[in-house]
Amino acid sequence: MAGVLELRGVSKQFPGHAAVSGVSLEVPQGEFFSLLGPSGCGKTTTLRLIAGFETPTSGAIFLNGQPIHELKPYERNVSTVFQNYALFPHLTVRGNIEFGLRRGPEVHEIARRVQTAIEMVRLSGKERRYPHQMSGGEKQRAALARSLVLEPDVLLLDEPLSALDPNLRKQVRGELKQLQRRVGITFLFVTHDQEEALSMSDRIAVMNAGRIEQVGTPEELYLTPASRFVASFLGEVNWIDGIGVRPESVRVSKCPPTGVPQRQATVTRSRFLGNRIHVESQCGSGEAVIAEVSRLEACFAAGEPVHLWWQASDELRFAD
Amino acid sequence: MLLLMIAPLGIVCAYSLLTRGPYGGVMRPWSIGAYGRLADPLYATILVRSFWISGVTTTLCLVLAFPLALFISRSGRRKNLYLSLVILPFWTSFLIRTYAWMFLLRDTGLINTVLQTLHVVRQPLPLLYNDGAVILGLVYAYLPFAVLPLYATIERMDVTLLEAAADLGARPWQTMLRVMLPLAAPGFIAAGVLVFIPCLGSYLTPDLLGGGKTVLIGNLIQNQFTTARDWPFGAAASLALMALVMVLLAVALRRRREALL
Repeated sequence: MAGVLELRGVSKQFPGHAAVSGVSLEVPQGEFFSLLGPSGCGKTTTLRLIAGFETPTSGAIFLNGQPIHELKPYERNVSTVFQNYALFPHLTVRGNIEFGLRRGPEVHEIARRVQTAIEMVRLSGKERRYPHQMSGGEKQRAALARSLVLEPDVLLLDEPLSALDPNLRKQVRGELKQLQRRVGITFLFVTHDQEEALSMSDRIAVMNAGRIEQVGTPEELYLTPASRFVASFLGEVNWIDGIGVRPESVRVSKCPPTGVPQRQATVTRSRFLGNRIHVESQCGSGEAVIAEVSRLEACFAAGEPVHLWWQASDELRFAD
Repeated sequence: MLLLMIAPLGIVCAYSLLTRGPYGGVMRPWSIGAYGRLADPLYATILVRSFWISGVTTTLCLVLAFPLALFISRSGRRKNLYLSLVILPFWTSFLIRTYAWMFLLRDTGLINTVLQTLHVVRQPLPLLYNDGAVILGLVYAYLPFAVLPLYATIERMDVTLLEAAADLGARPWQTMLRVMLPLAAPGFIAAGVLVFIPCLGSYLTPDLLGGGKTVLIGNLIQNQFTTARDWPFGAAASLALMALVMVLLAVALRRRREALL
């Protein structure tokens, strides 16, 4: 599987700190690939290096096998959807979408491609609107169309959902994923939102302090995290005697179970989360443990003594 | 506000409606004769000339100021140094600076002396006392008024828009033409107004560098209050100029607003 995009040992040193250190990855054609990490982990710098807004201090970037890290942004066949969308305020939706096409194909070919792009993002009838007359969702779709109309080899998306309100965000996730499948363009999606990355990506690279901690499918990252950082960044995890256990793996009961290793604990709080309940308890050794139970299971009151146990196969063990 | 703007304007208005005194000043009876004299075609010529010179000056100021403002905004830590250099001339008297230009440009001035010593020219070049000298002096005087608003506009510009343009395949000059200049339009309008209007009313520069040959509307008004001793006519001419400028400004601003909607 040949990668449309490849990074080899890419580093970016800013005065005083290393934003990206030795990042290598390969993204195959048509994949929805996410860079996930906390703010300041270097994911946005990585994206800017691929777009060409920054030049790597060392390392190389390849697009379809050709080195691009020394090319100017306007010479690279990648396109960016910016966090604030960066729509040109003096141009209409149509003007924005046409912007990158001017030097390219024939006039009616341009009109046809622009029309297709407008329909694809459901902005028909709003072609003459200016950015200040549009909602956040419409702006996001216009920015998407402006980039997709150029048929880039890779579409770079810099937290494109973070400016939308939370209800819309969930809906747009599905739409974005569908759109990516339909156009077949490789998406490189930068986000700090683990739920967003898990729900949309084919594969995810988890970044921390300028390095890639692990690359894998959402299932691999969640079920077999390579480091404590990945384990705790994706989903919640209890740390008991240096071993990680996900809250949904922890079983809790008032009577002692038979034939399994178990711990005694005291319930400190029961948190109602709608479809499930988080039972917070404290072990004899002092560690706080959260167990996720169904609403239909028995309810646990603060101060109640309980027994905790889990399958050995659900334990997450790390060398560090 | 009342004292600083309305009162002087009221006095000018009153003067324009009185009769000239024998040694300057004004006296009764009330009359609108001063306004009647404005219809003289001679004054229309002066007005057209003033608009022409101010227009050329404004254009030159904008053309020079934009690259300068862009350069300053891209200068990182030296920004403040360059900005203070732009404002530095204001620390000395405008009159003295205009005289300095005369010393540079006149037949026995620095430029002609150097050129003659180096045998580049035999006769001194006619650098002073013509329209060119007036425009040079005006551009020199009003350039900072164009640089500052343009600088402010460029500084406020969202850098990601310029990045987006490059990302969509625009080369630097295309980004300049298709994104930077349109976004800087408000700065150009502010700079244009700030240069054009004082240019139109200027009298010192045309007087000293134009050698009296280049009579502009400002000189005309000045003369009425000094040598011609016709205060009512001077007051009428300045009010007429002010009215004209305000109408032009209103039209320009309305146009701009319509263009935005």
